[in-house]
Amino acid sequence: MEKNIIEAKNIVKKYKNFTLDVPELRLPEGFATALIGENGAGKTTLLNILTGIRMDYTGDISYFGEYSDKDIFKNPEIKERIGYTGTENYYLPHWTMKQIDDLQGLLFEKYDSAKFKRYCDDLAVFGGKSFDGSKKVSALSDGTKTKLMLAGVLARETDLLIMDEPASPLDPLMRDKLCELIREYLNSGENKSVLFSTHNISDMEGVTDYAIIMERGKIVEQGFVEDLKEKYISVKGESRDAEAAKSILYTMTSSNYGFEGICLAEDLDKLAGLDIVTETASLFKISVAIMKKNSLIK
Amino acid sequence: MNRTLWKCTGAFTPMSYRIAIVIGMILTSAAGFVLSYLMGLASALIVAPVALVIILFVDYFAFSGISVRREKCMEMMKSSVYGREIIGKALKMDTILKIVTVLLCFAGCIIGCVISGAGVLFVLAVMFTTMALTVLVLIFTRRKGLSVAVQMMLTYLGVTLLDGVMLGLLYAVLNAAEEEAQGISTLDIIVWAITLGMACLTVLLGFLLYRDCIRGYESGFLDRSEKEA
Repeated sequence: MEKNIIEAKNIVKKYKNFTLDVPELRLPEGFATALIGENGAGKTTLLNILTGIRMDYTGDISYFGEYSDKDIFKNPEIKERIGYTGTENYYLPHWTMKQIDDLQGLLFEKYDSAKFKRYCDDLAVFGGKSFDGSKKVSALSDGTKTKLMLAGVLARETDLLIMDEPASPLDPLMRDKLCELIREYLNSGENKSVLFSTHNISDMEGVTDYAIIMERGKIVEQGFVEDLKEKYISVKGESRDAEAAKSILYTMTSSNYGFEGICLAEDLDKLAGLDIVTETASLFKISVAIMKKNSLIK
Repeated sequence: MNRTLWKCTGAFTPMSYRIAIVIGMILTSAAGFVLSYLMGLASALIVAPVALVIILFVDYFAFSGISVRREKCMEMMKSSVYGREIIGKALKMDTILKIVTVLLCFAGCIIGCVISGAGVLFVLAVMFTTMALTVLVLIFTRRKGLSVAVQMMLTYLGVTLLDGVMLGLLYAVLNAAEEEAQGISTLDIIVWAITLGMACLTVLLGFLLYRDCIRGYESGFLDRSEKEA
């Protein structure tokens, strides 16, 4: 039976015009989970709650099968085992690399300064030059600041990485490197897990084992990618069959040349008689279809 | 890992900055010493704005408004169970250092006045007035949730203005008292009263500012309003 690294129940956070409402969330242990959703879906709020950065919510969270979120201030073990990177870099602009190194050493027991410097070199934070303790954060580009955050979090001994849109400011080469780092992290020890939110579904699909899709503060779909790909099938057909297919397909786009859409596997036999081609849908197509179905965007 | 007061404060300030502040204090003090021989008690009025600038820069470079809820690096602090302890200790040390900074800036003036026989009470009155007004304006601007740069500007303008008014009044009172005074003892009593009054006000306001800062970052950690924190 699969073990869950995080189990959350009845998580509710209310804003003026928005409510995050997650009745149940299970994060499988030992896998990389992608949290997908359009802007304003509530991904960052959910990640902040799961990391213990936001405390103004109701609900219960259990970590690593043994700790409760109510113990998060009393038990250092919880936050020590979770590594977090935010949407924007969380270092003050005037901080130097040495300050960041010193501060991380104060904040986290299992922080390795030598590892931090090594990751900074590997990720070319200093443009191929060796670690420069006097360099300020303000001298770095947005992408390099993200690399710095990644170096900081990977320099710690953790069991769970929670990353909020780590790929967004990165170039394609670095996104590929990020996927490599995630795989290395998962393979580095037993039961390591990763949870990241992303808009770059195509780039991150190669490393995603489990997907959670959010829309308007709710989880609308979740599952292992393989299972989702069995549940949602990509269908293409001729334009003459578009009208007939429209009511059966989960989502559809059509043009003069034909139609393309996503169909639930259970509804596939309803398309019998139509001239269609089916193929395995990518996680990108599945996510967009699900988000489209639940979105307010017309 | 021993999270001492000094280590926690040091993590927020680079060595070069700490050296620059110490040099600034020494130079200000030396200048105050020289000026006290040239200008007597009025030298304190020149040291006051310099000390004020140093206090404000301590705040900016050390914390950049970190005690304000939802400030940038709070996420990093909150991702660690020790974040709260570290900021608390750094703010405590910062409060102590503010007092030491001002004392050291004025030390040269005080020593110069004592040696030259110019009297030291007026210098102390200026020192405590400057500190009290700085802290008062800092509390006011911090509660308005303004950005750090605007806070600094407003504090400098506010204190300079208030300083000018307060010290103008002080001069007027001293001049009037000197005319009326039957010997030096009455004048001394008046200056003592102002000095002690301002010293007590400084301590009280310093305590309020420290409590304000603690509430600010606690509210950020617990995601409560500052009143609840």
